[in-house]
Amino acid sequence: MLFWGANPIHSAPRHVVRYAVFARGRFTERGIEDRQMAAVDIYPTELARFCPLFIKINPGQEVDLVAGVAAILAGEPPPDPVVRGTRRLAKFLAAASCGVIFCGRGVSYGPGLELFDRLARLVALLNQQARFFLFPLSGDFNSNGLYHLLLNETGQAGAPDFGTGEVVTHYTPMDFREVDAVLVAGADLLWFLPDEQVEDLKRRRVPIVALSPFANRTTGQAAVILPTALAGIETAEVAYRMDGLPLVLKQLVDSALPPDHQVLTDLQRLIG
Amino acid sequence: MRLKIAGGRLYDPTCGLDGEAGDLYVEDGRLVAPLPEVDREIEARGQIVTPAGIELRGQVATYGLNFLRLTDGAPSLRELGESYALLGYTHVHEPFLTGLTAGYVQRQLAGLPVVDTSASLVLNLRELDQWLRFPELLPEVGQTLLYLLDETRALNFRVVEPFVRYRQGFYAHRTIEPEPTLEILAHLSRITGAPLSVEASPEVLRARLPEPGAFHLAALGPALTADDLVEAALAHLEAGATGDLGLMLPGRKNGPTRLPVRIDLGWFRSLDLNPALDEAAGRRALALALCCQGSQAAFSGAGMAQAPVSEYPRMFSWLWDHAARRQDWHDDLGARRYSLSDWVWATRALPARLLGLEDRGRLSLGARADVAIYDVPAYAPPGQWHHYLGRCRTLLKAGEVVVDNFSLVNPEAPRATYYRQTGAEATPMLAEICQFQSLRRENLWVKEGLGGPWVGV
Repeated sequence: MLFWGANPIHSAPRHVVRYAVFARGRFTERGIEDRQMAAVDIYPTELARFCPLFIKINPGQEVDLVAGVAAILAGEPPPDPVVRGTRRLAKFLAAASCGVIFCGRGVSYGPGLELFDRLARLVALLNQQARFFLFPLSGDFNSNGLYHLLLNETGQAGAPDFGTGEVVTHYTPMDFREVDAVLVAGADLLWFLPDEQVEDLKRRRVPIVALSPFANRTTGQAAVILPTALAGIETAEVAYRMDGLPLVLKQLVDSALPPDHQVLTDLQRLIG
Repeated sequence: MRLKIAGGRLYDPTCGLDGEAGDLYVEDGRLVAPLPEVDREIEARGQIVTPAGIELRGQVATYGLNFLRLTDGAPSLRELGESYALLGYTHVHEPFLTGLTAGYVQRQLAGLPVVDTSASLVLNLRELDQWLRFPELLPEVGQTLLYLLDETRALNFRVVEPFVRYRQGFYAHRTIEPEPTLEILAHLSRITGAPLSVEASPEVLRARLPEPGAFHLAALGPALTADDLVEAALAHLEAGATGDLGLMLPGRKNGPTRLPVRIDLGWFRSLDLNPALDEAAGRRALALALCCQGSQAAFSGAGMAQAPVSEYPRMFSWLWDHAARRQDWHDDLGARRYSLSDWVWATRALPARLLGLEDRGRLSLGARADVAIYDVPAYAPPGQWHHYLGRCRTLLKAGEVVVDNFSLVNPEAPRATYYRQTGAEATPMLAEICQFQSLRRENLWVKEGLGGPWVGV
């Protein structure tokens, strides 16, 4: 089991306890004692405590590390520069009879598309010898739902641009310098944006409309806050698990607040 | 609305219609006897009028398909629904729904516009092996399966791996080989009252089917990995089994560098959504289609990657046009040419019968008014048919005009997912199966809000 650019202790603690690391499986009845763990990260995270093989790399070395591991597994010498830990990681992966690589948000920093593509090809290569899986660990609640929605509706997972009549999908980060108004739903945008972009939005006094059940950084800067019901607590909703299976979440308590989609539908009706 | 479809050349092999000119009348979504007055008349003089198409193997909602979209840009649900409608289809059957992915598949099916849908519940025999070994327990197994069919809102059963095997040597004693498994499945088919779809494989084709009529051999094409398997498949079909062809394209559009997309559904082997090209198997599948003289083989594509719906007109053309075969396969592969009636049987009448949709796939009185009209000139030679039969001029779904003048005019047409309403009760065996799952699988069964609207049959 290899965690790449992921720290599930913080992003998905139940994943570690209930499903992946400590869980007793049909063929791994002693839980973690029957599993081998490894992690690759640019920070020394808590995973180092139970991952005997923890490879700390420097930013920018990710692609070289994957390329080196793939080369060794294919029986070729690893291309220069050889990242420290390449051979140990290749040996670790080659020894598995059934393996999984969990990718975290760290994969998306730097050349994310290329790195993910190389990891996918590495898993395809490993599959020639043993069962191997590539499993993206999503971070926030139901972020998987957004990807399924985009793929179902547009056939692409990137950011759709409906402005030109036809849907154009962008895989590059949004350039907020062109933006003169922002509507945020289901996210804390200012938490994720780099400081320069946040400062630019503030300097240009770009109005932000925030739909949120919580107070957060974005609502703190918003010109308009539209409080919404919390999905799965105050309103029934469908949410996608990390493995892509949808679950129906029931409403547990009454709320006078509308769900996000109701607010968006009302806005569309008023504007349209 | 009362409609008249006037003067079309009617094709319906179930009624013996083979291009005879005639009128059809529609009232309350059904085909009815001639009406004295109608609200609208659709002029179809000289045009071909058939029942609407029924897709027996439309991989439109398989778990993992979004990875195919992620890596290869497969069409979105909206594009798929529109493609089927413009081709003259009103029903799409998803082949791979499992106990754990039922909610996902049903939600995806509900997102497919225009066309009606249904799905096969794929049985994982490893979950049942402790009961399958004892004939006296098979009635309880049958009841459990019927309950699961209802609970997952599926239409029929499918078995992808008709055997029990484990990779771990420790479990070798639990192996059940294909031949005894097929005996058990034939018994189960009698209990559940419906033929079982078995994904064709070389192992299955070489095995003896104990009761051929109890089996439907799904997607024959990819299984034809050797020449002798064509004969074996033909023998099964002649003995009474039904099958679907699983045709595939001769070449891959994007070359051999595409990433494999294999999805673990808990089976012995992963489901390969992007399998490697096997041109020889594709050639044998077409040869099988051409030498299969009986009425037991329906048209189907091998899967979204090997036979996308956008290529169906090209694949139809192989059935009736020698030149198209020579162009794509560099060979005639057989002397036979499908007539239009043969094509209607393979794409409409037989799929409807196999799915148990009794009021579909025919133009007789009382049938649901799912009618496709194609603008095929009477003088057009078979070599040009695919130009016309790949574009439906008018499509009626339950009496509503969905496609008119080659354009989708009613993308919001009501749609439903069909399932077999068994009314079976849960059994103690089911509780025991669920107890062994680390995931609470009963939480993943279909709930209101995850799909529908559903129609029980």
